[in-house]
Amino acid sequence: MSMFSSIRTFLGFVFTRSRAEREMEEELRSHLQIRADDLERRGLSRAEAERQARVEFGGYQRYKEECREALGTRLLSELVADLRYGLRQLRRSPGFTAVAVITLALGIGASTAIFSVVYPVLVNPYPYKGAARMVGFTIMGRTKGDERDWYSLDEFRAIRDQNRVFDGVVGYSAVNWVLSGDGLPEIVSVTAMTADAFRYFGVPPLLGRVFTRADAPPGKTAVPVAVLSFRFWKRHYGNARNILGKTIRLEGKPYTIIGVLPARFAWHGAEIYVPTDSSWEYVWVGARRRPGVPLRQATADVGVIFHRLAKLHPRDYPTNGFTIKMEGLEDWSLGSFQERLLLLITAVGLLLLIACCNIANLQFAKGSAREAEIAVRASVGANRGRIIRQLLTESVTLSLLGGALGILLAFAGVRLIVLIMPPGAIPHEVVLGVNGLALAFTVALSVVVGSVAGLPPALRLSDFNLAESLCHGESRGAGSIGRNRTRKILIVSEYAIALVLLASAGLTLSSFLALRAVRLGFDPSHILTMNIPVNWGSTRWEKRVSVLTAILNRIESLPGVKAAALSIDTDAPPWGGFHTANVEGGPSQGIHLVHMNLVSPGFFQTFHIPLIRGQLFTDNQVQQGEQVVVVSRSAARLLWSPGENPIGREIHLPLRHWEIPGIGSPPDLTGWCRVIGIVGDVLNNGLQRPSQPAVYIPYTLMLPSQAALSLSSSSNPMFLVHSVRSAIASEANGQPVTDIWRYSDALEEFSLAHDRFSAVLFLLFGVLGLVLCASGAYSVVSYAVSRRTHEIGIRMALGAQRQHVLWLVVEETMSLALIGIGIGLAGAATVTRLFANQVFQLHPLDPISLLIVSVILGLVALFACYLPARRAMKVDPMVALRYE
Amino acid sequence: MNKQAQILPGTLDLLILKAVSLGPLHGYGVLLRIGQISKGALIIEQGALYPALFRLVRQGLLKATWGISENNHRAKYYELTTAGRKRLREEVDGWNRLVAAIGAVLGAQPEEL
Repeated sequence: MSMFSSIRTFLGFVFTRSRAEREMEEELRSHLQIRADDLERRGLSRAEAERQARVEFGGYQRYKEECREALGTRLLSELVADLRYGLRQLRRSPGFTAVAVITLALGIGASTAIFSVVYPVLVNPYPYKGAARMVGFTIMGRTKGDERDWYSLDEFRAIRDQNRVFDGVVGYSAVNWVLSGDGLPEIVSVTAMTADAFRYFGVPPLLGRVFTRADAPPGKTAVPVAVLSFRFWKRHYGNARNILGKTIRLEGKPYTIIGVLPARFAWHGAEIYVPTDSSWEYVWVGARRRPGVPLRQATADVGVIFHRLAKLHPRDYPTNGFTIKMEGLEDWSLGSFQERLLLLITAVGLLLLIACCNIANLQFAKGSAREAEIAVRASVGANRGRIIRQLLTESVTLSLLGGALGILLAFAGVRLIVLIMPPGAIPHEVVLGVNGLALAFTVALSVVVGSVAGLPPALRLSDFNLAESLCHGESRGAGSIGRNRTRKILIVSEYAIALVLLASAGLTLSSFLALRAVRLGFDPSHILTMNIPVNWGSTRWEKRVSVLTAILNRIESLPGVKAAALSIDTDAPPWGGFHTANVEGGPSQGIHLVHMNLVSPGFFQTFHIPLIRGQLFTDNQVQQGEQVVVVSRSAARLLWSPGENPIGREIHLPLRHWEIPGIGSPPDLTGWCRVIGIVGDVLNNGLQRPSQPAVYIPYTLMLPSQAALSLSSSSNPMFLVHSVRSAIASEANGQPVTDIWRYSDALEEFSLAHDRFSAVLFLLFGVLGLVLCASGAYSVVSYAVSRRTHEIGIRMALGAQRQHVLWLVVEETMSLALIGIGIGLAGAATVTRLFANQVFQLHPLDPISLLIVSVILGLVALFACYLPARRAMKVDPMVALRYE
Repeated sequence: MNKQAQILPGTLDLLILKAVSLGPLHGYGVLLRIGQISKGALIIEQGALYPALFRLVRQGLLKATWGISENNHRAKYYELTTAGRKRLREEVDGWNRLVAAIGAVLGAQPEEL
């Protein structure tokens, strides 16, 4: 749309120009006619009169130029002429044009692709009204871990009604509900929001309407209406427009679909939005600061309200005082990924710089072949500014062509980035793609690149001694790169930048490989995991245990299943949550933090976690809910002194704290558990951090609301998915399962994805940098050789050895390459320090990878100058001399 | 003695505005009228007139329309716009002040100082 209109403006401009030009021409001609008529009347012959009129008029062309300037069309007409001339020049040397356009396309395309990710993620991630002022807050107690970011409806109302700093407050709550009705039951993520939430977000629906206060009047039950997210609509209904008014069943209750949201509305990543009412006890709270209210003032205001509430209901708040922590939206969601993106921007900037150096160098080379042409232009009256402008127009034309091709590459690049994007790394609201803004960015970047890369050659070429250039014609020997300082600097910086890029690629790649090779402490292969979100309701403890035991027994009996286990979660690899543990009479009295895992007996066998001492749980112990515990080696080391035998000792875990009231519990639950065995350590706190002390207790002691099932098989576990699903469905009354993963895939996806993302992109940029650098060096050397054919011919005619000629060419380039590599190493030392937070177990100055990339770059440089040098070596002196 | 004078830089616009203020003229007519009024004392190189005309049109001081000249050539006729009329008045005032001031300086006698 906007592109068309700008084309129209441009065309309009061109047409007006040609009309103005025609009129001007006609007017001047008519002046000459009238004057000639006058002169003829005074007795001159017609021919003489016309001649006289022209003489009196003065410099016709010069005044035409001045008229154009007065009309304001001169710049444009020159630009059009330059453009035509430039395109003709480019067509005349297709080889040069192809190399230059591809080089520019790689540099500009990569930049556009990264821009297409960085702009929506870092600059404009949220579609919500006033997103930059949106905050969330947490009550922070004095003791570590004593914090709360969910609030009762009373607290929510207090914040909403008593604050003086927000212009909107919203309460919301996320649940996983069973969607039934058409097709198989499935679990969907539902976010319930206070009724006026959509007014708060200010995003209109794509279809239908959103819910409002009328759908959830205060004090009454909310009308069961549902608004679908774009993603859910697309996945579940294939973008069908006729779904408005249809009914879906959530947790067995009918909801009417009233609207569909646009793709970028993804608050909390939910699939379906429903209104809350007073039946929701707790909500998270989001709020938007009024314009001009700083974070600190908002924090203080919220603090005042909570401290007032704490006086009324002291039991709901930390006993020894609390503070409020307030964060904006972006602090919540991006984390360290932001740093990765900033590094990528740096990398792509460096890549673009190499491309620029290349283009400048190519233009230098091509320009020195055009010295004669430029001298002629200057001699017929073009001034220096005019010549510079023409050379710049050519350069910008070239880079616009490169940009056009680059956009195609950017489309491919963004697809690759979407493919390797770590899950959850960017906000749900971001929709990645090459959009109009990215296209505008490409055009602007192309103009900048064209000007930057074109300026040094243009300045250099337009600065010459006219007489000298005309006399000597093409100056022989000008091909030596040695002649020009600027070109030397360009080549050296290309090598230096390429080295920095390769060093970064080496660093991220070796970090990724090191992370893959890390010792997990368990065997992740052939394991299948899934969640069984049982809707327990008020089912008693005994019944829950028997249901889960039945499911587990059924799974264990399936053919192909070697071992199976239930646990609290199967996230890869952080297991369990931190809890406090107390040891009676140990050397380290007091409270320790340990990872607590709730497991069934088959857990250790499923994951191949070795038993070091004592024994594991028996089926009976688990089913009875006996208070026994298996500790990891590091937990044993933390809780007891080296000489002590932990077996038979007791530790206290906060089991009673987590008891669900009204469903019963294992008999005599005290929280004191007897140690029966010690197992090996596993990496349970992310792959990059050492394993945390862990304790394992029977899952029946703290029945998780969501049971995770894991099983190991003898072959590819994905083959078992169907039989496991149908076994569970038939055993437990149509029970659905979610999050089915092959454990090794989940590990890759959740623990390695960030490093994989960096490694793939940096490797890509490193290789591109290498290729551009090599092609730059190659073209410069081969050009130099072709310009020196004559000189080489003379040298050989005078008896120079072929090896000597080879050395002549190689020496010049290689010395530049080595200087570049040296500077690059120094640069890499600085730049790779930025990776300190991103790489795993490696010193940022990892000497081996630096050595490897230096050698690679050196070899590439050698190769790039050897090929043309060999051609120089084969020069036939006679041919070379006749060439003159 | 040469009775002809090169016009002062910057006064061409003023002369054009004045010439056109007496009635619509084509470019050549502007030259003729200036020559006629100054009795041939002011020379303007013919070509130099047109950039100045175009500039004045662009500034909105003149407007141009195509017409037929007395000996049947299509020619562009220029006339003053309202802005042009106003500008002419200002320029004439400015010029008169300048001339008076310079005249006073040049006519100064030693005893007056």
